[in-house]
Amino acid sequence: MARKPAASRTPGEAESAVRERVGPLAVERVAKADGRALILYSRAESPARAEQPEREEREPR
Amino acid sequence: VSELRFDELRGEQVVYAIHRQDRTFLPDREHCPLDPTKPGGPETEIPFPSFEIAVFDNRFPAFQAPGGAAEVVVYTDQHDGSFGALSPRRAEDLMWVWRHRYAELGAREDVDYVMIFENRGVEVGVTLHHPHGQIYGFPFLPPVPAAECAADERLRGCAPCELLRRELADGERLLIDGEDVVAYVPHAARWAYEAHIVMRAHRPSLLECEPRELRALAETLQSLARGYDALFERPFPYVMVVHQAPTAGDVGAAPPGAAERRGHLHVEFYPPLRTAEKLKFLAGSEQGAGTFISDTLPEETAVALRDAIARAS
Repeated sequence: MARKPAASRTPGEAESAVRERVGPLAVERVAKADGRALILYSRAESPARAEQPEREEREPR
Repeated sequence: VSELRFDELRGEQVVYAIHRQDRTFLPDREHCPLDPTKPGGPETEIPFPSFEIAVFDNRFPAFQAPGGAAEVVVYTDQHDGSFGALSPRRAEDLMWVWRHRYAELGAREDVDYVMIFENRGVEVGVTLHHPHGQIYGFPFLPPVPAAECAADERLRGCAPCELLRRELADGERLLIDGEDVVAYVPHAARWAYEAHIVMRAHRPSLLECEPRELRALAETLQSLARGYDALFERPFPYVMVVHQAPTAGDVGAAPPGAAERRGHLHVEFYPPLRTAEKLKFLAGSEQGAGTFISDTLPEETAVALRDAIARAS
């Protein structure tokens, strides 16, 4: 899901930053226009997403 | 930015988040900020035409870095619905999202306790109807999880493990007796239809759960939520809170002599209804003395809830 840079973004689109895997989910981090974090989670069923390595979860301190 | 003040008389923190006074309040469905952004329409919190589960920093946070965190978890891009009405797969996915947020927020130096919760219904102060929950990353250990740590000391071991053992032995208040997850109305329930959903094995947090257990947790939570709606044949308001191990190193570590860190994953529901139309209010005794006066017996409400869960399944 390639996205345009924020400067050329139109309503309904935002800039993509990082993709990872968490269990069965693909994780996509997006920078919102006002700087707040937005994370999108979706079932990683497509082969392209399923092949991405899973990032290790950090343990609480 | 919120301000913390310590109430010396009660020995607890009070959070002043005065910017929240102007937060979005019950908008009509055409202006729901948790809907996906419609092509040509105003941008919502999620600037995409569709999504599965979305998490974002609360625009009106009670806590924010470097003094904690406040996130919103949107369960679906469908405006109408509820946690109980999600597909089983989506509910299971939500458990993974909760686990991921617990891990990330809990790893932060400014977060001592991660609280995942959902307020459902205007009766408990909901300001947006779109199915969603929230996560607070507290920069201190709040009184309730602190009391749970004290219960561990009092019972000389994991308190939820011991209370689960007692509930299983008694059996009268059990709602769902699953292989991995058990639901019951607790012996000393404060709310008429309060219920606790507890991992059968000792799991300090979602991080220690097997995928099978996360699935079972989602199934049990949904069974209870649907049972609640069947109880009075109306959308049932509740506060749902996920209780897990504190994430601050000093309080979250294993107590002396114990092999595992503190905490036992369980989810507590606090529904304000005591009948189909009557709400339980926190009044004199509850506010002034801290003692709940209940109009119902847990053994009797457990029977009603068991029947409702059976009707809804």
